[in-house]
Amino acid sequence: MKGLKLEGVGRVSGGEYDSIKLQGVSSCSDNIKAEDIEIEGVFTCGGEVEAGRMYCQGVADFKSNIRAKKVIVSGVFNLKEGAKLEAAEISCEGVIRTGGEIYADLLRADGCITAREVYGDNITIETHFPVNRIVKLFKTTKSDIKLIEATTIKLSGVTADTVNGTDITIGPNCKINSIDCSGALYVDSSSTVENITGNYARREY
Amino acid sequence: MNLISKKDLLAVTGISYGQLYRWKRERLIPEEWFLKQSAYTGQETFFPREQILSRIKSILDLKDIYSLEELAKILSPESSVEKISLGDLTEVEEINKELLEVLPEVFGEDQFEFFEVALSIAISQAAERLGLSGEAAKNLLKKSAAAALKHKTVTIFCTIFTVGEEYHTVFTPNSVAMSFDNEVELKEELALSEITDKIKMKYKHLFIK
Repeated sequence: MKGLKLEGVGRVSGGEYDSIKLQGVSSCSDNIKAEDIEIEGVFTCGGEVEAGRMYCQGVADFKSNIRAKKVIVSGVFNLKEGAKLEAAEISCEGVIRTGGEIYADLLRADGCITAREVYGDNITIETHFPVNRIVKLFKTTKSDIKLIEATTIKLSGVTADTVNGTDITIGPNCKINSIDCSGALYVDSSSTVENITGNYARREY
Repeated sequence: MNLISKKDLLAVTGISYGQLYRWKRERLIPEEWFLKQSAYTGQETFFPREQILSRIKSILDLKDIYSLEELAKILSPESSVEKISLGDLTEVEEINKELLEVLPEVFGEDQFEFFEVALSIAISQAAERLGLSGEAAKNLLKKSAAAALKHKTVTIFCTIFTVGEEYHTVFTPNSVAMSFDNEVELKEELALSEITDKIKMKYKHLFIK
């Protein structure tokens, strides 16, 4: 297999790589598979991506599904409506925006996530104020997700329609329409929750 | 189709949201089994009851023996082996011995795809349950093969029915409720993937590389 490093403006050919490092403005219209992908510039990808580790410090647009072991986003990660992001672990200090689904065993986000659905085991989304400069640049100050479903959920600064889980912590500045909880539930006094169902026990923070 | 809601599934099996979605991400549970339907509470996810309960039991039984990657190969409806020889198939006791003889004629070669093996087992088992003679079973397999081969996957459903004394089959990508006229008698509906789940576990050395 091969390694690829692009520093200027160029196109990435589809196929299998050991590692891909993109520092300029690049695009790819085919599927790519690599053990390690680093995006520091601007990248547009039309094909599916399969990776061991994906690191995005720049701005990346994906039109198809992404499947990786670990995804680290400190830049902006856009997925087209309907495209799926699947990873064992996702860490987001920047922005992830998708009209589709995100699946992760472990998701830790200090930045912003806009998604239709987020599913997983342990999901923490704490969108802080003030947010980092990339988040400010994209004028995104609150995470907005239609459905979050996981075993353990911890949220701050999140607007969501539905949150379903076993243990749920709703921190400050959240606006949730409905929660279904079957374990321990905490709701911060600065957050609003319209409906709560399930066999849950209220707990102190 | 008999369905179970996601909430009931978690309650009945004792698994967590995290396990359900990890197994989906690892392809242990097919995406097609997650059926989103409107409910009074908004949108809810349902599953085909028998298939999902059987799959989760298999995963729970095997997860401490195999890695998730190995399990995905074992539980995937398809086989990781491209072709299976007629000699190897003599070991598969679920295939009626009389049907085994006609497989080269029906499928046109001595090596068989996993899908063809699954179809042969489905017809063998149905013939036994319906009390068909060896000759009738052979005829049913011959008639079914061309229609089934159009799908080329084991994730299909086979409906067996009679018109007068004559047996026929129809293959559909999903389980659908079919309404027949009075001259047609519905005999059986089979999910090929249920058969493949069982035989892959039983004959791992033949169907998993």
